[in-house]
Amino acid sequence: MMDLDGISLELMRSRLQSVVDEAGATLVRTAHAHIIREVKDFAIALADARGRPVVSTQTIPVFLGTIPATIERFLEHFPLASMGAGDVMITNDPWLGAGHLPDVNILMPLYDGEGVVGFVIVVAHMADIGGAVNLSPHSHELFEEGLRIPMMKLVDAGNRNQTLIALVAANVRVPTEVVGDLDAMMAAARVVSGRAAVILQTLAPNALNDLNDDLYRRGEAAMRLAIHQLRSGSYTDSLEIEGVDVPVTLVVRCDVDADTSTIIIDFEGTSGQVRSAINCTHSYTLSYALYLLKCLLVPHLPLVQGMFLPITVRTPERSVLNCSYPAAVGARNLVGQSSTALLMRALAGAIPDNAIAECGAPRPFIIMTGQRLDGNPFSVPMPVMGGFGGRPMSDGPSALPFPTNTEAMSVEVFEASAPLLIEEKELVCDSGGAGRYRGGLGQRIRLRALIDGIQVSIASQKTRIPPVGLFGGLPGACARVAFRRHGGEDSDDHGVQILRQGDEVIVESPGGGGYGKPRSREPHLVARDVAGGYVSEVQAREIYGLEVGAGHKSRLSPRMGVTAGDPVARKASDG
Amino acid sequence: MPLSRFALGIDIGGTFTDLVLMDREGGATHRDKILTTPNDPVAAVGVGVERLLARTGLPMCEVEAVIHATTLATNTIIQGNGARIGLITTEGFRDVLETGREGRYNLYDLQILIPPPLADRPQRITVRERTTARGDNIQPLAAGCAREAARQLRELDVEAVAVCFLHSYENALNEEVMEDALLEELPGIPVSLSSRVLPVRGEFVRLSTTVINSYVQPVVSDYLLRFAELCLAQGFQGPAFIMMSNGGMTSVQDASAFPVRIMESGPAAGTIAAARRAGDMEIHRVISFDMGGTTAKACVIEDQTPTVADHLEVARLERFAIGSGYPLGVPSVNLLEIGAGGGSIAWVNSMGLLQVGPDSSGADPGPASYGAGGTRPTVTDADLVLGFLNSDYFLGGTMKLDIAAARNTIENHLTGPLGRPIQACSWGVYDVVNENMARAIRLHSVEQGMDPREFTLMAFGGAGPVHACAVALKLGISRVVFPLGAGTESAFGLVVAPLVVETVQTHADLLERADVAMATQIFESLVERGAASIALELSGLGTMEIQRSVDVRILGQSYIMTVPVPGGRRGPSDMNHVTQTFTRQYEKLFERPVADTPIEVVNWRVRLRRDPDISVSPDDGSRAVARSANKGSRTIALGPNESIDASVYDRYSLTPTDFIAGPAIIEESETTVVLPPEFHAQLDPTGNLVAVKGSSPIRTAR
Repeated sequence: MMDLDGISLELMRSRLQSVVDEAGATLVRTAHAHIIREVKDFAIALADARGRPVVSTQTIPVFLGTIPATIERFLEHFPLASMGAGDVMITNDPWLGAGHLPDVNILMPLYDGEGVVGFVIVVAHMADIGGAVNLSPHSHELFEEGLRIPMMKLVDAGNRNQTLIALVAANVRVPTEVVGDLDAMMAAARVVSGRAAVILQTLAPNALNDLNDDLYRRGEAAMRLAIHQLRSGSYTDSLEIEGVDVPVTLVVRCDVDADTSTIIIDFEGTSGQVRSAINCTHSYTLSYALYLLKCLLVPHLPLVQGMFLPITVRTPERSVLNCSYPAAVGARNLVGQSSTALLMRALAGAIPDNAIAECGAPRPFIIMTGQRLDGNPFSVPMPVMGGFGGRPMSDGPSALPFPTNTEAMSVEVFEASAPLLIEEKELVCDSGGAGRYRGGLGQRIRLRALIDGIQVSIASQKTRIPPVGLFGGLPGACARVAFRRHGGEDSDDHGVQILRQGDEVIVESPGGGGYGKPRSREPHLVARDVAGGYVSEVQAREIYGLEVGAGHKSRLSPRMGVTAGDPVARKASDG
Repeated sequence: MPLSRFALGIDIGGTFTDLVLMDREGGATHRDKILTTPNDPVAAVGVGVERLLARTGLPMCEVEAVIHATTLATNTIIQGNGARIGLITTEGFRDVLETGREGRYNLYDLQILIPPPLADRPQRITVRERTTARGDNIQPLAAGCAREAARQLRELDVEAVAVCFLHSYENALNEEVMEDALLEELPGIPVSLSSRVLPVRGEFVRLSTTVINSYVQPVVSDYLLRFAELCLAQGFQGPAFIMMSNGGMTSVQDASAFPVRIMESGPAAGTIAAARRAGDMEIHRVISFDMGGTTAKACVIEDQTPTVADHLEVARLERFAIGSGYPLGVPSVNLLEIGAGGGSIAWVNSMGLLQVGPDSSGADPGPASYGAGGTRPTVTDADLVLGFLNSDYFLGGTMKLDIAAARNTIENHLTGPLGRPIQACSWGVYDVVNENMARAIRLHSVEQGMDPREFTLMAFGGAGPVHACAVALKLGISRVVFPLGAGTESAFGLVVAPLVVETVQTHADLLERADVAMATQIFESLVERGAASIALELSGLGTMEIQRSVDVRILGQSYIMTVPVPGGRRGPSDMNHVTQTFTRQYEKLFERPVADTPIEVVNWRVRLRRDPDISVSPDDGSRAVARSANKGSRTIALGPNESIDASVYDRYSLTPTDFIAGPAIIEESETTVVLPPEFHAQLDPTGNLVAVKGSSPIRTAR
């Protein structure tokens, strides 16, 4: 055992963190796929010789729970004796890896003179993995979703598995990008192995394990301390999701025990897996649960896996949160994101000063594909962000995603790539859930096709069941997807449609739920909202109980606020 | 601009206004420093200029160029006292300014705040108009609508107006129609058109940049006018220039119209100074490292040119979180900002790990050892306890440091939770903050595809020289340079800066269609725009080097690469060369061939440049060198447990024949050089202290 104090441990952690961050920068710089470069849909971790992650890149939340499990599966499949220096293992199996086929995982063992000292894992979302339609919620079985790579060696003692690479290239729509990005992932892994080797040379053998033991212990202690402050109890809740063909219900019970400082999260009672692509694997569900608990309990600590030891997450087998092969999983985020909303709602009573109202998630997501007039194909996504939930001390920001974290698609970049005109992208009045602190507004995007034959695939939820408020706050507005053509309008929440020239698509994202009772909202905030058109005069009157006159509206600027004696008055206040 | 003999650099910082007067023929410089007058920055400039001229005996009419840097534009945003602005956008796009990136800069914080829009919703109005991505004006803006919109804004008492229409970078007609109406209906109110501020694709960044321009414009243009008047009143007859964020210069008129370009003028000048010093020492690859009270800044400099990024972010809500501020699409020196300074607070988190920063005690109350009410341990307190700082010679002895207070605060806050004695904790603070800085600098280099080990570190700032060698060791850097008189470095950068002007324009097309004729036409208009911005007659272009480049990408991919376009004075000579260069660089970067997909050119860039011909001679502040440099010795820490008696030298008494072996301390009035045992140091002929890893004496720094 090393004798590590809070100084030397922090120095070592910082040094190793630098190594994975550097590898992340290398991957971002050399990868082809937009989703890796710009959306940062990847993670890199350095693990000790026992396969436990020590440090990882802080990119997106969905790999938090999958990475430790993936390494474990790799080590079960490849006993140490079966691997050697210069090997790289690979899989994209949803149950072994990150929950759907586009996420490819590679594992590289690190050796010193004696043997394995650690591992590098890189997981990244490929530009394409074959299958019917990329990420479509409509697949019935995994087989429709693309190529599945069982655990195997991508590189064996330095020799690339050309058979596998040829197979991958032959099964994806953009082979150059995908094969290139596998190379980029391996280059990133080599950055970690090279730099970590230099650092580990200066330490005693087994130092990485010892150091990680210590980090685990400290992470665990910090989380236990946070749980110890909570109100003990059994918190239950349920949430209905519209689903694709049939609705599904998520059910959770959280047993918070401040005395033993543990939390048991059990999704028993959740609907069984379905024949559409919204099923989650257990480790994917686990990722979102752990992510939410880190947000709620220890948002400002560096991420170490030990902090999750006091937390148990159980999912019933063959359920939509723990599906079995060969369930379709491509659009797993539609259910996974809602599982965090459910968990937040359930735990709000235990953690009222940090929990927030439900966010407008999952956000509607549409992908336009087709051929431009110059013959070049295009495939351009358009996420439509919903409003953030209202919060204990502030309104939810408008058009801000949670729990996922992707950024807006530029209108000008979109139009330069696809033959559509975006006619509108604006916040929707009254879409934020009313409350003492209002939910963020959803937005409306309206597109018009400039040529015939544009294919639109749509994935949206929350079109009938709105994001709910918290502690008396009201729900946000529902999402809406509509098609306007031949003078009529019809809706389609998750289908594939073909547009003709002049047809319009209208997508509205859900607003965030409100926090606290609307009638306790400060009048000047309501007046500001009316002046800005965030809230209508009608809603101000009927929900907030405030009369905000037109004269007031015209001369009021949000920046100016409302001064004493303003003609904003609450007639009847029930708090 | 003629590169005249006497040039005066004036840099207004938050605390001090620095002045440097240089005789560019002899290279002699005169420096002065005066407290900034925040309410009326021109006042300090007036006093400072008079004092400096009186000292040198040079009348203002002999000064041929004034080059100025100011933090005014940035401070206006941070303090929120810019103009009340109106914003006009395309119908249907009222909220782009508010929704912004639509991403979270902090993954775990549920209470995350996003930067508030600088134009509130009632001040954002839309008009019916539309241009397509190809530049076709499919909905011309009717003059009547434009006038109606202008009148609406007049009702709102706006002080400046920003106009940003979709795809105006391809076709600015509708924005120009809007401008005509605004000039008619709101005479005297400044108007910023996005097609002039930043004619580049990407509506949010272009909008944000245009809005910031509008927001700071009245304050900055008013100030610059008064600055120019002051120069005139003092008898100055030549042209005044303003340093831009990219290290180039522009005219007062241009800076008044586009203040968004001068946001980072002070830091840019600082990197120019470092670049110039590196050039004088014939060092090609340098990382400048400037550590002050609250932040450390670093910039990679290659071949005397600071690296430039095509964007910048200002007024961050979380100071070091990328994405928490307002993005500006203006080229800016690629300056890394790290939350590590002398005032950074050391604390222990709930995992029992020692953390340093990003919170800072700032200048007020400052570190505990300042005795001004600071109670929490800071980097400066640790440096003092470790013996690196001299409690009687801080800021040249003008301020006394309280070592007992420093020891107390470390004992009160750190020794308990960390379970280690005072020295080990102090060393821990020193080591952790150095690790944080090394880590950030390494990542910054790697992101640009560079290896920090191949660089020389150049240290500035009050705390920079105290930490530089330790940071260098962590980065694998074996040479550190400590320039003398680093206190007025930005102002020095102003007088040695090359004249650089950059212009950019988006015009997307397939590269195969972009022939020499098309390129010539676009580049010509960019050259004209660049020349106009510094009020340069086109005939005067003869002395400027013209560099042309294009941003290209594989059609449909997001990765954009800037590729030079060969050519001479008259114009570009060969566009095929662009394809070859792109292919070569792409294959080098990605280690794979370019796919058989068309290449698209997106942005066109022109850079006009002229380097000054100055040989810098040692500073006028030649202080007495008649006494021995060795001031004695004191105990300094070498590690958590080890200490040693180290020699202490007076920087001003050193001569190039003095050879200093580490461990040693070299004191100067504004800072202290800490030389660890791994290094030795010597002065070079121009007065820079050069520290090299290893023990053999150095003769020249190469």
